[in-house]
Amino acid sequence: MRSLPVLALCATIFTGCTYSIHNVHISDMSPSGQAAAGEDGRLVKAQAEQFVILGFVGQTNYLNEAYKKIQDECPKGEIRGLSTQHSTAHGFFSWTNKVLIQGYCHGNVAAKNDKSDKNKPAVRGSKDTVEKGVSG
Amino acid sequence: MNFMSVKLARKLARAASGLAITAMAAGCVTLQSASLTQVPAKREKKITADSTRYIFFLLNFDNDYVDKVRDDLIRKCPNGKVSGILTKDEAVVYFPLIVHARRLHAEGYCEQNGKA
Repeated sequence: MRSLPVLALCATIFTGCTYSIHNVHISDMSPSGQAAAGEDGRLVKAQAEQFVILGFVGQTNYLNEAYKKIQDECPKGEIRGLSTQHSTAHGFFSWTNKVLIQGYCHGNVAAKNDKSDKNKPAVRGSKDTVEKGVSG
Repeated sequence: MNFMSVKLARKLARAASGLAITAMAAGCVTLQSASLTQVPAKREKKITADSTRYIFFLLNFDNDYVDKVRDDLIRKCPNGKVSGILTKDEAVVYFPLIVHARRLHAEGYCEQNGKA
């Protein structure tokens, strides 16, 4: 009973402060080096989250959501050099599971969520990005 | 008599709350790991593979169920290339400490002779 105020204080202090990463996976990178890192690719990211209270949750669809999002970011291109991070941000008797997928989109014209005319170059990022997108 | 009934009521309340917690925890799923490989440009033929291992009293003796997923992907894309593989490893609690499961799901795109 005496430790209750200390516990409450700790819970308040550490709410949203602790963070843990469960696993990181990196896929093949071809071509490796500079080409994969931006010479001929556009960095695409997709993140999805799941808010959990006391662990009562019956599905893990947020991962599939991130998988779909990353493909939507590069609808006609190949996504290489993918990194997948699975982590949890802790809260007060609750936590948020997060998945972050990052990769390099090669040979893409425009992302699916771009409303621009497909004949026109995609207005996404710098001019370099546009040129890269058309190249593939 | 009155004291006995209070004691009984407390016991019943404890049992009920225990049962409620167990019932709420049943079916809880946690993502254990996730990975994604290079996603192809042509995404037409999607293939999936699943494998589940039920674990009683937390006793698991091998992890052969994992190989089944790999074999299924190979079988569903003979002589082809499977890429964009999303792998999902989940832990399921059906009844705390008594019945658990590990569920492995993989999905990807099959490319055969240069065609997806």
